[in-house]
Amino acid sequence: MTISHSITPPPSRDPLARILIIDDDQVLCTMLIEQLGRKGYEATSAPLLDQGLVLAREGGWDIVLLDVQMPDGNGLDFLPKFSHSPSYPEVIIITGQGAADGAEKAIIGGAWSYIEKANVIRDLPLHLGRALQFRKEKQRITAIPVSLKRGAIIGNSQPITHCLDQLANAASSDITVLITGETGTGKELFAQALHENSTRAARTFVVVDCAALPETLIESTLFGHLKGAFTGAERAQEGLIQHAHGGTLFLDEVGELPLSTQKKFLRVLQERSYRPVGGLTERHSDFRLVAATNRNLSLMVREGTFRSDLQFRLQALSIVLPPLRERLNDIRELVVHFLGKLCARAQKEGKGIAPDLIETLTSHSWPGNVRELYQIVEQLVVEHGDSPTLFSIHLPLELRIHLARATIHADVTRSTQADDSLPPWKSFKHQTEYGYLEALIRISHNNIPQACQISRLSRARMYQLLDKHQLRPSSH
Amino acid sequence: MNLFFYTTVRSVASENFIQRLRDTEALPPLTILPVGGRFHGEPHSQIRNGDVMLLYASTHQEIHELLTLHDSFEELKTIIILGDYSATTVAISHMLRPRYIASATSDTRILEQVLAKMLHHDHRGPQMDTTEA
Repeated sequence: MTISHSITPPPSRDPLARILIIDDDQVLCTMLIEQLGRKGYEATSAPLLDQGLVLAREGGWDIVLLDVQMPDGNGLDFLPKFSHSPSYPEVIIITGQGAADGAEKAIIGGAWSYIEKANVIRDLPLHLGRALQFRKEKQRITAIPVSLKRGAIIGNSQPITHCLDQLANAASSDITVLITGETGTGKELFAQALHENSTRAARTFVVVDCAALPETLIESTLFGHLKGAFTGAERAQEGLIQHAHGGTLFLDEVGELPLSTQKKFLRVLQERSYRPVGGLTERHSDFRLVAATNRNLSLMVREGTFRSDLQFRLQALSIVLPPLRERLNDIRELVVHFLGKLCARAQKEGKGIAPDLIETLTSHSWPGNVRELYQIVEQLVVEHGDSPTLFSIHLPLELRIHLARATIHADVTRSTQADDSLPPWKSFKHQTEYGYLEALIRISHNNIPQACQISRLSRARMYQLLDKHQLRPSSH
Repeated sequence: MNLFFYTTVRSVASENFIQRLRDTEALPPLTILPVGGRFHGEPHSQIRNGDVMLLYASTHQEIHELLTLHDSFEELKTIIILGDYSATTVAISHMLRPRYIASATSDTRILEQVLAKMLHHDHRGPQMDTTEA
């Protein structure tokens, strides 16, 4: 790897801050590194996004200066990766093209600020000073011991601790919070914990499942309706927005909200008042909003399926929950917690956990995240509830086969890479296809229609592939 | 995703509601759990994370009884059907974190639509959070 420049202050004193510059303009990098070095900062640059990410993941950076037009991609697309790297640095965007859209995207994406390259030497000190002051304040706040009610949020890994710090800070205010993360990462648990730790904890926490409400029902459910407002409205009914008065309104799967409702809801957010379906008078509700989604709202905005003004309102503060594969250190604690709870519920004796069980579980990639782990523990309790100790041999057969194959595949990949060669395309494709289908069958619990839904494959194609690989789910 | 029905007190009203549900053609298969039973042994051991539990409460008192069993429903998607749809009962019902609250007298076809959407969404499977894209 080629990392271009680095100027480190004399070892007698610590740098004021560590700054990572991601820019392919070598002349500019040299100038910035010298300028920053003179002011007591430690600066390093990388000419490619990938190289920058490697450095960012080593941690210890306070600020990342990120160029937009890079040889290996658009810097803005990498913004969340840099801002969520281990030291959670503030990111300042520098670019030669001061497009308004790019600036908006940078700010929505969580960048500290946006500087045009032509003015960077002049403007950087001001932006840098403010960003570092903010960072210092932020670190001081997070250092304050907070007696946080975690509810069922289990784990002490760095990624989850960072999210809990964000939660603790958010709970002390009424700021709107958007919680994102893959399916099964615990978005609802975080929303509940946010409510429980807020000044609204004594009032109602109202869940709105945007994915479960049919379009015809969503407005009357949210806003309520008057008697006779539509066919079947035999009596007036309050909506969930009113139920949440004084408390927290949790919009789960907010990406599923229809566009027409998004527009009306935006108005509620702006004015904290709404009009029930069929009503003429405005009503008021004082609620704190927390929203969650596993969808990419920025992408939905670009596709025209989500309003940018609503996205902007929702993510006043954004908490990105880590997938389980990025917090494997938490698996043991999670298993102990789930096992204790499920054994107590099933009135079974507590169980020992053999080290090989945890080793096996930590070698899985957990596409279904904590929910998938819970389901595995559920299965262990149901099928091996009488065993005093749980070993990896007790794990579901499909999971053990999958992990065994993955290990062999990894070994094969390593050995072929060591020989500077790759397996033939056909054999690699076959192996990958097999692995996918195997995981698909496991996740869908042998349910072919569900497997088709997940994979978006037609039923005919699904059977064709299963036959090809001689995979036989029970319903096949 | 499986569908279960539970109430703390079997009554004429709850039986009538079950019958109305069973008359709803497109509803997924429904397992009726024993009244007031502790949540262990069959058929409770069939309940899995992500399943849908219909909780029926005729009265304010029954909602309080359901609250004492909240731990048993934690990992499930709950839908509450209320005989008493007063503001107080509805407010307490939210403590069970329901995905939907219906009145026992409302059209079961609406509930069927909600269940169909839940089932559809559940079947879309895990999606990646790609906020960086």
